Amino acid sequence: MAEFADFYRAGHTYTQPECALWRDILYGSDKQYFWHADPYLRCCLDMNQGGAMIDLRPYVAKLYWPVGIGTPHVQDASYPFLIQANYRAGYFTHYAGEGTIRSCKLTHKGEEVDLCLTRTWAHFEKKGGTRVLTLDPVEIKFADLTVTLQTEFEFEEGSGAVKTTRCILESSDPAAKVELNEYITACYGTTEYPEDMTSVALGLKNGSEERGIRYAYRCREDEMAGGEASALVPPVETLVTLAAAGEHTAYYKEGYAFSPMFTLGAKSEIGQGEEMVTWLRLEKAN
Amino acid sequence: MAQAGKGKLNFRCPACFMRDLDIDMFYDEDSREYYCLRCCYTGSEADVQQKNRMARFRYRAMAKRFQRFDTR
Repeated sequence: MAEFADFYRAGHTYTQPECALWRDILYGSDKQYFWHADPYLRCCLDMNQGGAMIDLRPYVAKLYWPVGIGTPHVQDASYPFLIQANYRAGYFTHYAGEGTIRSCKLTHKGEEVDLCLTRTWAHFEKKGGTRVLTLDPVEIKFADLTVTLQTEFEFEEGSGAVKTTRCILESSDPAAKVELNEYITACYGTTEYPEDMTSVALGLKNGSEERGIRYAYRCREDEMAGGEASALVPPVETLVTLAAAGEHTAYYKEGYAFSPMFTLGAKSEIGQGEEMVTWLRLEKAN
Repeated sequence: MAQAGKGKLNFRCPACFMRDLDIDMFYDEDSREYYCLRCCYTGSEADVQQKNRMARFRYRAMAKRFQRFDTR
């Protein structure tokens, strides 16, 4: 291992990420996952769910988390997650509440389609210091409108952020607008059991005002024109922020006992040939 | 391909259900298959039904009527 460490350090910088575009080579499902790990975060994108982020860990917090005999974590050596769609539900839940996931919902005349319902395929490339994942376009069929949407993820080295760009390539009605709701539903923990959320603070901030609440399981919501939505999660010393470019509405949603997560989001309307750009950012906060 | 949705019946993933995980599947109309969000299982309705029948191998007494609970 010492020799491997020497070899690794000789060829890698501190901020250089490890990426893996994994495909199912055993079960015949055509499923793809993209894993990205750098000093700031680790995440997994599931192309079987339209590129939804199904795992997110805040390495940026650099948590002091000793594990093993003689430590507070005797048998659970996991680093905490903010999103874990298998442990803490995901797009699909057995109940009305939401599970942890980062995705996008498209709405047209009251009809809503989540990109988690679109199966697609990803292509990886490196552009300078940025790793880019481009997804094959997906078709979204509403009752009276069909759009073709393409997603691109960018991981800029050293930024601690994931940039998401969604573009409507084609539309059966070029004049029609579709609302894109980019959201992250998250919590914190290491297992399938909920943790105490009462120290979490949800906030909205734009150029002229700032407001927020402390989590109290009361299903409260708030929104603000422009700006960004954030969640301060003290138990994992992390500030999660969702920001968007251009005209948009930022919002947060508090959960309740049977869905003890928070949701941060940004909504914007776009039409054919237009795109919506958002950033999910993790920062250390203590 | 268009977005997936729920099939005519709400099928659980037979692979996940074999390990007591209750995961409902979605239906891809273009591929005409049910697929699991959690594992790599994909299959037609006929395959799902067949795997569900196979999973019942544990239930050897399924067709037996028990009259007494104090004797064998």
